[in-house]
Amino acid sequence: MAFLGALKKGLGTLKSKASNSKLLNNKVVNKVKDWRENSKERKASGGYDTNGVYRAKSPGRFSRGMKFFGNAISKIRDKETDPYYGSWKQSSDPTGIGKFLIFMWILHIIDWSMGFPSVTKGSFFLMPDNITIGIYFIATIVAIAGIFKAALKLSGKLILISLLAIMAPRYIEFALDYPVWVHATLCFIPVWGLYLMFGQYSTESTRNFGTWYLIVVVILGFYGAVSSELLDVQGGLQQANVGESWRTIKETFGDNTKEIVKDILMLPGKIELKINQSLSTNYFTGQVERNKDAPLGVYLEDLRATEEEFTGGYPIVVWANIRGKSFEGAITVNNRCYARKGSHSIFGKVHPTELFLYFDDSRTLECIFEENLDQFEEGTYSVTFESKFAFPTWGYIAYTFVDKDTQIAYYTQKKNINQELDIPNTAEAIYTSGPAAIGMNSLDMPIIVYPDNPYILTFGMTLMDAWSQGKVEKIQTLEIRVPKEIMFDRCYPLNFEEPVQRVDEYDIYEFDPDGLVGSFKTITCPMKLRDPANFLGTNLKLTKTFAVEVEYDYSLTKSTNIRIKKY
Amino acid sequence: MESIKKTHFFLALLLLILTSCSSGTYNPERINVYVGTKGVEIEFIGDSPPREVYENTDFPLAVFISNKGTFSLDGETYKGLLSYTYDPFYFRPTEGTSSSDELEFALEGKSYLAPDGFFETKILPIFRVKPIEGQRESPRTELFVSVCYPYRTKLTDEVCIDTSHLTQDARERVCETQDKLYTGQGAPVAVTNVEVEMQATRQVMQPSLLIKIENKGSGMVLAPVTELELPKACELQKDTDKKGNWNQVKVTAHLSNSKLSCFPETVNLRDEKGFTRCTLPANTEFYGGSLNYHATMVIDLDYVYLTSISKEIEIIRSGLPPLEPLPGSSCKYWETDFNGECVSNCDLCARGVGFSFCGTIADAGWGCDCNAEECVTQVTASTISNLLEPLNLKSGNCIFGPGLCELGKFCCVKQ
Repeated sequence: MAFLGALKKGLGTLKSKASNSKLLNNKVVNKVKDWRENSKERKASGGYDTNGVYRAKSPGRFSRGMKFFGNAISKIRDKETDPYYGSWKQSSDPTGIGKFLIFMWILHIIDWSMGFPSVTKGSFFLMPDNITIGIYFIATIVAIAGIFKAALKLSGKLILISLLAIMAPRYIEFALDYPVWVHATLCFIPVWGLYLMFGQYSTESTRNFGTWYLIVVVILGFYGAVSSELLDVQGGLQQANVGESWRTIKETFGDNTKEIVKDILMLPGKIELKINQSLSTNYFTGQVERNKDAPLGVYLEDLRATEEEFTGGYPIVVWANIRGKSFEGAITVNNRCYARKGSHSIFGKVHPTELFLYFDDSRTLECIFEENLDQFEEGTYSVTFESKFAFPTWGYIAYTFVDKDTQIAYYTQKKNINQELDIPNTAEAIYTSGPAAIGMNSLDMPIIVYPDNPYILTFGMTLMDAWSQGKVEKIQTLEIRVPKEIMFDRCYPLNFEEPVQRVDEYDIYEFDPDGLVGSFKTITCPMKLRDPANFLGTNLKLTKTFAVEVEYDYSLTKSTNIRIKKY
Repeated sequence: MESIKKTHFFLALLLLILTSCSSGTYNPERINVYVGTKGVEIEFIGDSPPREVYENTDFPLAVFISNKGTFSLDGETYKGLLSYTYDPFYFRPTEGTSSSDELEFALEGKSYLAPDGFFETKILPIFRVKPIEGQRESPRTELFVSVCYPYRTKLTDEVCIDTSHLTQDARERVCETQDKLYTGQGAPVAVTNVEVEMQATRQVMQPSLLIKIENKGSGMVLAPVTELELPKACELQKDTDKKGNWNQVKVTAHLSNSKLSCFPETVNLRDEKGFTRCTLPANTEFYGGSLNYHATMVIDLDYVYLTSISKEIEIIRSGLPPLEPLPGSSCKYWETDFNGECVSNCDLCARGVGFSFCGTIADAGWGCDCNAEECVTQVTASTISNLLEPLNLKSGNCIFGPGLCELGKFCCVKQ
């Protein structure tokens, strides 16, 4: 009984404690809620500094920039308003600014699409055509009387703006000799539009619109310039017409974008390639040997058309310089050229079709289109030179071998064997310059030789494309030269062909290149010593060079643009 | 006045002459050759080998060997071995200029008659630079030369045998025991410190020497060999059991013609240093009751030593490359090698191979079947058919251009 009583009492105490703590809990929770709400507000508007003083939050950079821009516009308007009019202030604000903006913009586009027509085009004393004058005249009257209800001085200003809208694009084009890119750019610079967006009588909405319009135009302009530069698209300094301008805009923002998107889509692959190269996970890399003068290989350079613009029906001639260098013999180059627009290709005659480049040689190639000129339409064509040649690339790597006991002896003496015996820390794979690259397994050195174990490390090589302006069409031969004291049992994924040839101090392992597939062609071969116990003899160390030779047919292409105009 | 000046001048001159005269006796300077930490040194002679060599040329390899230590290599029991290594991808020894990759040599060491030691020039084989294989422009390779030789460090000095603990003699002592410090004895492995301890056991003093040794040379200590093995000291170093004993020095010590027992007898060098303790064996009769005196201490270190040098050589192409064309595809400019066969580009495009210039050629009906006249007719007919569609004129198509078919032929499809 006493026990039950005590239990009851205990439970009661617990209960009351629980309810008290619940109350306390609720209080705490509410407090926390309040504090959170307050702190949210504070966060939105500012915060407390280290001294406990509340500081209002400052606006971000972008909003500050916009505000600054808006203030600048306001200041200009303020400056204009007071001293300009004096007692001639407007009795009422202009109405319909937004609609008038749209109307003037359309007018500008029409004028632009007609090519800013001028009766005396090409002359300093430009005279716009009657239609342009007429439309702008009517627009100005509407502005003075209908929109702005302007007094004399404002009327004068509006007439001046109209004159500027008419003459400025014409004189700009005249001064720069009517290039296509200027005409395309002027599409986005309407004088009346700019005044109505940022001028004295701009409204909140037109100003906002104008701000965003400027940002978009600047970004697009930057993008267009950069993309054209990156893709080596010639801007074209030819005489402008509307069609060409549209084409320029389309090429700049259409074709360029396609190319850039293609490159961007290839980016993950390229990044993976770089990562794998640095991590050496999938294949092997090397360093290209820097040649003292010109690098080895074949190069197409200085592609240029004989004219800035070709007239339809007349022969088209494009030149290029071809340069080649090889230490192993003359390079036989087969050339051809063709013009392309979309999917339509037109072949030209190239002179010479076949040539030999001796040692360090350069020649000029000429591509002529004269028999099939009727196939050329007005517009821009890409003329491509294609040169095919057979070329060898060599890769070299030197491994240094040391006996196991020698290594231990230096190690116990706390001596760095690499420093004591002049052994580099890793083997450096070097390949000769050219269209292909050969990477090899850069092993840590020295390679330790165990007298009772013939197997040493694995030899590996990777063949890669080194140039982006062409492709390896076919690998003719692939050989690995191995010192005679070392042998390969088997290679993967492609085994060598038997029998193995011995030349001098080396064995030559040949591979069937047709077995190599994929962009990166890798072969690994575990190495085995023929006589590990006597390999080093009385020498402290031994250095042996391995060499890889790859001969392949390469197709090199390079393009330039030409413009065709109607006769 | 003038006469007094003249007198003073002549007196001064006489004084000068008299003081400049010296006596007839000559005291020669005593040279101690048992100093220094060098043994057999090796260096390339001048431009041999040169820093740059041309392919398909010869160059000599000559080294200058000098024994700058005190121990002589007599060429019979003690002889050095010179060896060299090279990369056979670039060099080949010229036949007849060398019998082997190793050359024995003998050189006397420093002495009072030859304080700088003896030297010798060794002409190693003449090397032939092979033609540079492949497309490498100027490869670099290394020539490595090493010298192996058995050597001995000998230290002779006096130590004080201090018997004062036993004799309790109050007379003035001749000497006192003290530790000895040394810098070098004319050999690469040197005794650097000898700590002398006198241990009294019953009525006998038992001297104990703690000998510290150090490899002060620039080379490497190999494995010691027995007396019988001395003539082949270097050849034996390639044996596995010998390689496991590298960095070991054999120590022998004598005190007043009594051989000391050293423990360990063969010292393992760790971080170039080691030590051993040598004491007089217990059964040796020794002087217990005499006063302090000097005793002659002789310490011999026997070891095999290795020194090496290397030089990097750049190989330069000597002439123009061959004029013959590189072997490659035999296909002409209008052809492409397809599965080992030269096929015209027109046919390849017709098969569906996606060359960039194929353009509209995707039909199996295309081929190099048209000559110039036929091609013109084809194109004209095609143009007319587009205008006269209702007349339903069938026509083919033709591509002018030299890149698809051989000269005189054009890629077309006939209907």
